[in-house]
Order: sequence, then C-alpha cells, then structure tokens
Amino acid sequence: MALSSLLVRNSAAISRLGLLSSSLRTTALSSRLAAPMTTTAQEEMAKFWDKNAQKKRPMSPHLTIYKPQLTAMLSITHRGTGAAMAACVYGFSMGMLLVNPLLGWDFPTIINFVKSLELHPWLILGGKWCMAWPISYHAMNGIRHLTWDAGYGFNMKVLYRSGWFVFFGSFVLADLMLFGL
Amino acid sequence: MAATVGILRLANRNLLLSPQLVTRPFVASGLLHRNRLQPAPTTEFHTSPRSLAALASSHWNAERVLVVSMLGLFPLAYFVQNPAVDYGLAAAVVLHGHWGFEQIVTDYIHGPLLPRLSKLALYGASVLAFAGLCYFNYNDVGITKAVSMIWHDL
Repeated sequence: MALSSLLVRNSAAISRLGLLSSSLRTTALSSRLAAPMTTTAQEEMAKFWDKNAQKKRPMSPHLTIYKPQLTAMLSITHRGTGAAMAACVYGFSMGMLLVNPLLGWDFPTIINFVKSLELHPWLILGGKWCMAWPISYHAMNGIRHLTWDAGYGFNMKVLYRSGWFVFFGSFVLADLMLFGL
Repeated sequence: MAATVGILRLANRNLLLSPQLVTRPFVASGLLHRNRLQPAPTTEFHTSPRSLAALASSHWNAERVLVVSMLGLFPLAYFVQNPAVDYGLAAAVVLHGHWGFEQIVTDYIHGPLLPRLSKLALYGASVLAFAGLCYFNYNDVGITKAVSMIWHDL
C-alpha cells in the first residue's frame, strides 16, 4: 500500500520532469519542484541579521533601558559561571600540558609551592569559595533548566520561586561543600 | 522490488531535493537514507531540506543526556577516586564546555567569517583541553585527586 502510493507519487514527479525541455528545466525546476516551500530557521535567522546589519539597527533588546529582573540576572549568571569555569578548566589543562613536561612541575609541586607562600587562611578559603559557588550555582540552575526542558515550571510564580530557591540554595550548597561534607 | 527502490532513491536524490541540499551533501548521504535495506517511507520525500532540524534535535538530546549523566558523575567523583571517574570527568567537562562555548559563539559573534574562525579556534582549544586533561590523568595525580588536594591539603 505504502509502496504503491510511493510509486504513484514518484512516477508523477518523474514524468512531469520528463516533459520539461532543457531550457525550461533550470527555471521550472528551481521554482516549482526543487525550491523549498519553507525556509529553515537558520535561513530566517541569517536574513534577520543581514537586515539588521544593513540598516545599522542598534542591538535589540536594548539592555540598559530594562530594569534588571531576577530571571534575566540568573540566566546571565548561569552563562557567566559556565563560561568562567570552562575557561579555567581549559586554561588549567593547557597550562599543565606545557608546564608538566617542560618545567617538570607536577600538581603536588604546585600545591607545595602554594603552601610555602603561607597565604592568609581567609584568602585560601576565598579561593576555594570561588571554586565551590560557581559549580554549585551552575549545577542547581542547570537542574532548573532541565525541568524546563521536561516542560515544567513555566508559571511566573513558580519561575520566581525556583529562581530564588536556586539563588539562596547555591550559597548553602557551596558552604556545604566547603565546611559540611 | 530492489529496482523500484533504486529508481525511487535516484529520483529522490536527483530530482526532488532542493538546490540547497547540493551544498549540504552530508545531509543527503547520511540522514535521508538511514536504513539502506528498506525503502524510504513517503514521509521522507521532501521538497525542502529537513535534515538540519533532525541534526539539531539529536544534538539537543545528546546535550541533555550528557548533562544528566554529569549530575550523577560529579557527586560520585566527590566520594570515589579512580581512573574511570577521572577520564569520564575529562570527557564530560570538555564536551559540555565545548558545546556551551559553541552556543556563546552562535549568540554573540556574527558576520561572514568571524563565527567560522571562532568555531575553528574553539575546536582546537577543546581538543587541546581534552588532551591536557588526559595527560594530567595519566602522568599526574588526576582530576579527582587534584581537587581533593586543593580541598584538604591547602
């Protein structure tokens, strides 16, 4: 059944094409048969950006005219923590790739060097906090994102409640990582 | 049977696909004919390319799978230290970072050339980062041990 309908469809298409003369073919093919009925999202986006650049439009939405809102701030913080952590991991990784074979500095050497500096304990704690909070925030807000991906939590009230929960919860989790476990 | 399938496929490839698909040969060769033993169902005949969307959606799924597994891997790494966890962390963190940076490039960098250059540079950086973490796991103390040393020895 499916195959026969397939055959009908395609034989129709093929015979239609067969009737086209070679001079007609290029225009007729592109406009009637082969041209996309719809454009892809990517093509639409490219068109949008081209038009904006061509008309020299300012950035939209204009960031500074909006009152900062919790949701937007949490969103950009999510991206900021993620990018910062990834940049640190990339930097650390490439740095160790250079420093370990060239200078012979392995990780225990570096730890001992930092120890020998005898930094103030609060400075060390601050450094650890700078590692603990971003990951705790990004993980918690990441779970918030996953619930959206699953289709839950879009109600405005819930959105703000989950937002504040993630904000305060990230500090609690970071402190747990530093002192609790 | 086989002949009709061949004809159909030929017709599909040469006549019914849009000119754009010519510039996207990987789409035509890879995604439209997933199972070469079976004829393509009628729903697979399209006058417009659809496979980029399929690619995007499978990428989206892969990202969620990775992220959910990271939510399990990180707490595990807090308590368990072994090479499997170390290499798993290296792969997961770099892949997640790579996809995140890729999205940032897509969002903020526009123009004809700059996005491509940035993505090329990002590829290089991600490969180096993964290589570096593997080197660190193999020749040095490894990721979990390193975090533990920062936490407990400093």
